[in-house]
Amino acid sequence: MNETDILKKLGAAARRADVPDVDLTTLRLPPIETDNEITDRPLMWIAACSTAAAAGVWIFAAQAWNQWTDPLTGIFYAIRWSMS
Amino acid sequence: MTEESAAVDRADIEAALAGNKDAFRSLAERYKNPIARRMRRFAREPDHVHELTHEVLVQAYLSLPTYRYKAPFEHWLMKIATAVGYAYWKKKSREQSVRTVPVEECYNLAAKEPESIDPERASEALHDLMDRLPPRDRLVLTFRYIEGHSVEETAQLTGWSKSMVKVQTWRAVRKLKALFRDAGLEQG
Repeated sequence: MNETDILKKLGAAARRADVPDVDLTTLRLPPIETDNEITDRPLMWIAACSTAAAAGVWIFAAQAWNQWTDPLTGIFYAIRWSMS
Repeated sequence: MTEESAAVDRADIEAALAGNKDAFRSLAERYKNPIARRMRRFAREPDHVHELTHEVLVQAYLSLPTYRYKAPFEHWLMKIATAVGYAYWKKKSREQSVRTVPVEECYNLAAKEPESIDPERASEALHDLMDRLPPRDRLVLTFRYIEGHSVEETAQLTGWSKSMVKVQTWRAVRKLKALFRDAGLEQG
């Protein structure tokens, strides 16, 4: 008799054990929500639009910041100003 | 599962989704015993079996909108029962459990004629033996050898792949062998 045979034999015997009676009178059922999908969909669209807008602003701001802080751009504007 | 009982289940599920709690209660009445039998594998105390059965039913009620009739309702409930039982084991594994049946006694009990083994004692012995293993090993050994499910059925119940079930079974059996070896019971 190996280890798994021990489990099988004890399992077969344990299946004959009584199942405790379950009283369902105390079962508390919370309210069920079936329309989650419908109420969530507009929120998902709003979130997607806000994310897209935020990404656009971030790209524009990054480019502007890059230009602003780039030393070559500063020199280029200074030369153009002195030549005009 | 007959077509007739499947139709009764479907009618009750649709009524429950429409807000009729009594329809769900009649479903719960029909399936409370198979659920309690499954939860008995996870918990030894009758109070805990009772609580876990309630928890499975509440989880099933809340997840009812996601049931797609692809599998029989009982199979779907058993998957929920497995998830609830496994979470219970994981929680319990952090606590020190009281063991009353030594490994040697499990061996001696199993050596008896099947009909002469006391079912309650066998259940107690299995809980004590399984308590010594991590939840993943317990789960796979329970389904494969104690409940007698195939690799495919175990994969469906646990949500693991078939190869995962095979690997996990191999690891769990190795740990089980080590338990018996440590108790001085070298097996063939």
